[in-house]
Amino acid sequence: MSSIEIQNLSKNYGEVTAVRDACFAAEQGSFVSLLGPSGCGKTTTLRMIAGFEDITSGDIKLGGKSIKGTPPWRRNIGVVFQSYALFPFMTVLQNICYGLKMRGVPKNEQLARARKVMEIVGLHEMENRYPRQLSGGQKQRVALARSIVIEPEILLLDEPLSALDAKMRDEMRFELKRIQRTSGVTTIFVTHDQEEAFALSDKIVVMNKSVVRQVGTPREIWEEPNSEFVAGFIGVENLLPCHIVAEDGRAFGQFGSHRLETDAKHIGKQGEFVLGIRSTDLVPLADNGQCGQNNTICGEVVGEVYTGEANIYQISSPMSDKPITVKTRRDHRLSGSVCLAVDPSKVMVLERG
Amino acid sequence: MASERSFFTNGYALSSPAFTLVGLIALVPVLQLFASAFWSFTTESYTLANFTALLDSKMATQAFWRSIRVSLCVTVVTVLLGYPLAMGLLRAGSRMQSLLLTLLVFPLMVSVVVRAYGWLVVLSPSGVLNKLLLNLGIISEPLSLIHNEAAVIIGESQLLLPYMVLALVATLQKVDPSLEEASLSLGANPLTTFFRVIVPMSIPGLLSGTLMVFSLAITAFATPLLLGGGRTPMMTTLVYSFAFTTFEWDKAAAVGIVLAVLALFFVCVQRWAAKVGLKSFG
Repeated sequence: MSSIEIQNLSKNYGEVTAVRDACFAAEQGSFVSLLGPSGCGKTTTLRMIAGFEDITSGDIKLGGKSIKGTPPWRRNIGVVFQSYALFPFMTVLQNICYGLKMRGVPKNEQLARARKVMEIVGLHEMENRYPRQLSGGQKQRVALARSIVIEPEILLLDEPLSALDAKMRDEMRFELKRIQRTSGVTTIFVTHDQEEAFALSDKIVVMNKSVVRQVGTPREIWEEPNSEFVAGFIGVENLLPCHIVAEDGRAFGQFGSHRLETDAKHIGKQGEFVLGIRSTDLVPLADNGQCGQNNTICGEVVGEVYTGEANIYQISSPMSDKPITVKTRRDHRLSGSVCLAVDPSKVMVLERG
Repeated sequence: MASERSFFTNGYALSSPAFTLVGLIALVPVLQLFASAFWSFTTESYTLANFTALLDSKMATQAFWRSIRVSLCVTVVTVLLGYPLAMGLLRAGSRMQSLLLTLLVFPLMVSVVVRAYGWLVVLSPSGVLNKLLLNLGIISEPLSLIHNEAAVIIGESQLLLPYMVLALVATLQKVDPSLEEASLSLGANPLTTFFRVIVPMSIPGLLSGTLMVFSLAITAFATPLLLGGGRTPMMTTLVYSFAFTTFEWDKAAAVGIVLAVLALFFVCVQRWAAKVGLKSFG
C-alpha cells in the first residue's frame, strides 16, 4: 500500500469541465472520503485514479511516482464498484482468484490467499456459489475480497453501500471500517452521504460543481466548515447572508439595523459573508424582554414539527428572508414571539457560495 | 352465455384460424414432401430407394458434405468478423452508432440475387479485383475466384454477417460496463479481458447468432447457385436441379428431407450447447 497525491487534477469533456484543479492527498493506510452531491466530479476523480478516464491536466502520484499514462491493468489499484461488478459466470472463489491468476500467482498460493481474504471479509462456505445466489451484503463482501486479495497499493470504493438497504448499510459501514483497518490498505471512498463519510473517514474531501471546496478531518469539517456550500451540505440549517464589521476589537455580522456577534478571530474579514448557526446552538430565552441585547435573534414561530427526540420550530425574523430553524428538547415548547440567544463562538463565518 | 364467453377467452379457440392456416400452408406440403420422398413412381410403392440412390451418387454425397462445410465456415467467419464489428459498434458514440447500424442493416434491404451478382462483378475473371491485380502486375493470369466454395463462403458470409452482429450487439449492450473495468483493474489487459469476460458474457448472443447464421447458410439457395455455379452443387441447388432439370421429384424430396433433418440436428446441438452454456447465467 502507498500514499497517494492528487495534484491540480482536471478533466474536461469538450467544453464541459468535470473536475477542476483538484488537490488532496491520502496518507499511507488512511481512509479518505470524496463527499459531494451527484455530478460534483467525485466519481470522475476516482475513475481517473483507477485509470478508466484520461487526465486532462495535473498529476496523480502513487507512492511518490506519477501514474499518469499507466493503463489500469498495470496500476495495481483495487476498485469496488457501485454495482459490485462480480463476474456472473464465475464462482465466488473464481471471482476472488481472478486478479491473482492475472498476476501468475501459483494455484495453491491463489487458494491460500483467497481463503485468508474471505476470512477477513467474513465469507464462510460461499466458495462455490455463483453471484446470483448471494445477498447484496455478501456480493459486497466478495467485491471487497476480490479487490484486496491482490494487495493493491490503494483501494477505491465507488458508493459501495448505496445499493444496500438501510439496515445492511449500517452493518456494512462497521464492516468496511474493520476490514480497512485489518488490511491496512489506503482507501479512497466516494459517497454523497455525509453521515457515511463522517463515520468512516480519517479525512474528508468535500466537492461541489467540479471543485474541491474543503479538505479536512471529520472534526474540522464539522466544526469549521469554510463555505456556505460545505456548511449547508453537512447540515448547518441557518445560513444568514450579511456583511462583517469590526468594532472595539469584536467582529459582528451586520443585518440592516440588527447585528450578531461572532468569534473575535474573524475580525480580519471584511465584506460579504454568510453566518452559519446550527439549529441546536440557538437557545430560546425565557424572558422576551431581553430581546435586542445579548446576541439575540427575535421573531415569531411560524412552523412546528415534532420528531420524537426534539421539537423543530421555524421562526420568521427580520434578519433573514428564510425562516430560522431552531431545535429544542422535546419538553421545551415555543409559541408566539420568541427570542433566541447564541454564543458568539458558535456563529460560523462562511464564504458565500 | 357462459360457454360463449369461455370460447372467446380460450386461447386455443382464438388462435384456431392461425393454426388452420399454418397447418394448411406449412404442414400439408411437408407431409406431401415426406410421402413423395418415400414413394417410388416406378414401382408405385413405399421404398427407401430414393435415399440409397443419393448415397450411391457421388455428386449427392459431395453436396451433402459441402453444404455442411460451407455453412460451418460461414458461421466461423461471421463470428470472427462479428465480434470486432459488434465491439466497435458499441464503443462508438451515439451518432456514429446509429450510422454504423444503418450501414450494417442496409445490405439486408438489397435482394440476395443482386448481392450475388455484385460479388460476381468483383470476383469474376474479368472482374474488378482481377483487373486491379493484373494492372498492378501482381498476377499474370486472372485468378478463378468464382464458381468454387470460397466464393460461396465469401458471398454468404457477407449476406449473414448482419445477423451475427445484431445478435452479439443485443447481448453485449446489456453487459454492465463496470465488469470490463473490474477486469482491467484486476490486472487483465484488454485482450485477456475480451476473452475472459466479454466473450463469456456474450454467449447467449453467440448461440442465437450461430443458430441463425448456420440455418440460413445451409438453406441458402441463390448465393450457392450464382457464386458456386454448376460445378459446386450444394444440397439446396441439388434439390433445384433434381426438381427442375431432371424432373426427379422423388429424389428432390429425399434431398429436402435430408436437409431438414440436418438442420434439425444442428438446432438440437445448439439447444444443448445453450443449455450447458447458459447454466452459469441462471
